[in-house]
Amino acid sequence: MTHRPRTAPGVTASLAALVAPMLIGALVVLAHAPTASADAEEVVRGDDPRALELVRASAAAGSVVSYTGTQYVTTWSAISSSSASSSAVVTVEHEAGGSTSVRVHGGQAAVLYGPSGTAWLAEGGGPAELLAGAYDVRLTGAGQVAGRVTDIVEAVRSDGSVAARLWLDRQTALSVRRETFAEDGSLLSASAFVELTVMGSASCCLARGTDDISTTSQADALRRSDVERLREDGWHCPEHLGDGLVLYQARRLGEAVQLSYSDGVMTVSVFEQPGSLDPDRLDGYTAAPVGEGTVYTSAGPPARFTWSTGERVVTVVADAPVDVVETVLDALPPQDPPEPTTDDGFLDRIGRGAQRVGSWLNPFD
Amino acid sequence: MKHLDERISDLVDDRLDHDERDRALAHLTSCDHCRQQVELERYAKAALRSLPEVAPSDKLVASLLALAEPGGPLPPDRPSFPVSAAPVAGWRTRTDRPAGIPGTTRPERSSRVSRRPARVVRYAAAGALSAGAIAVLLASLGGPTSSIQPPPATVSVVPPVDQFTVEHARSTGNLPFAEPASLLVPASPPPLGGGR
Repeated sequence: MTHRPRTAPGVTASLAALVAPMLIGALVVLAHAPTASADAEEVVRGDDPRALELVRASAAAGSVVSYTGTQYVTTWSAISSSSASSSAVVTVEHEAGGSTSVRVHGGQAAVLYGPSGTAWLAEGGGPAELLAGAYDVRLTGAGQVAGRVTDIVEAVRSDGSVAARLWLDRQTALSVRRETFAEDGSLLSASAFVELTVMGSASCCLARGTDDISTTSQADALRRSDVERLREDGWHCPEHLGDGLVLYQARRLGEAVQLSYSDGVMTVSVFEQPGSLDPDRLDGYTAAPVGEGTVYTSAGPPARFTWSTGERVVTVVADAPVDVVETVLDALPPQDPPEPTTDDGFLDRIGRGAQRVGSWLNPFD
Repeated sequence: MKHLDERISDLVDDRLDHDERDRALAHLTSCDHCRQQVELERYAKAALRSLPEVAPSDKLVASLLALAEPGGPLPPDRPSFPVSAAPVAGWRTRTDRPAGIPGTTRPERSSRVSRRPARVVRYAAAGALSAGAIAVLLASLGGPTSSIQPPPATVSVVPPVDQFTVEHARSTGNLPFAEPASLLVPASPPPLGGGR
């Protein structure tokens, strides 16, 4: 299995000076981290009970722990032919049981939806159950992140490749470092807290700066009954995408519907909206014929795809291996909109009217 | 919901192919508006068919045919000789045209000739007006079936992909092992000289 970390452009000199010592520390941690490959003699089928316990605790940690910290994030395009990547330093603030604010340095903050703002649609359990259902979870060792002792848990695919590696803080069970991999072992994303401050559960640490994106979103959370109604109205809302990606959240964004899928680590959102795609107004997209239509792709990251299907436009934002998009294409095949017909001429309308009167008077009709 | 609109008349007139007809009928099961429109159209069609045939009178037929005849005496301002009363505007029919009518002198014939172009112009104008009125009527019948809502056209859209990306990141708030920050970082331009 190859592990091909790519270079991370775009970090300013000042940020580099700030994070360089921390990166050195991270490299030291890497040197002590176990390898990703699974020795055939040591492969254990099924979930490691201790790893499962840690994963469940980590999934619940957000409801009892408030924290703030600085993360270094690097992400690569899921489209393997693209070398696009990006890195940044982000500030994360989380309120126990509430929402999380993520602010990219030099950019706006985004407030992630917390438990109160969404309806969990996945049957069979929460995020930990999603992860355990899609992968074998194993405890592979210990490490240190931002001066904190961690347990290292791996999520392993059925073919033995590692999909994700998680560093879980031993004190709070928070996930303080993450790496996700494509099937070929290449990195999709990597992040680590370079400093983390854990607060009491009653503390409210969510910054409310004037440049925050408003928490009042145009999106409305949809319940299972709403999704059923959408299906009856002809919207395609599959419960699953590919192997292990489960519909866990749905929202309405104006005329569009957002369906969010995850297997606990990888995430994909499928947006459907009425209309036909106007490709002339897409900028920076690559067109590729697929079936009876055309798919327009932006490598990102994150990789994004959009196409017309019937009377709707589908847009996919994928933070997952790109083969997931193929399952969406199978469910919602591309179909280019028909060429606009010329306006009805007066003679056409006269002809149709004469036909209509003639059919009414035709005794043989 | 997209209504049947123009397809209503095609459905009533049985001009849809098998698949289109099935789709239209399936739509009617859930759309009261289109169902009413179909019933109205069927009612109008049945009413038109039930009207009795009206045969034109022989005199009208003859009068119309005579319009195509060259010449023929003009209706006088005052009847100067006994003629059979014509049903419409003193027109004479072919059969009514006397072979030798007292008073049909050469001067009358010459006046008749001199007034023929005016009559032709009048008839041509009347015919053109009638044809135009018929054309407008047929064009109005040939337009899309009127409905309460204008027929919705497929709107050309450009998805707000950047907004969708942010919404996708925001939707991972309940996934402790996902990586929302990566979704918010703007992609860097590819290195010069190509990436690979």
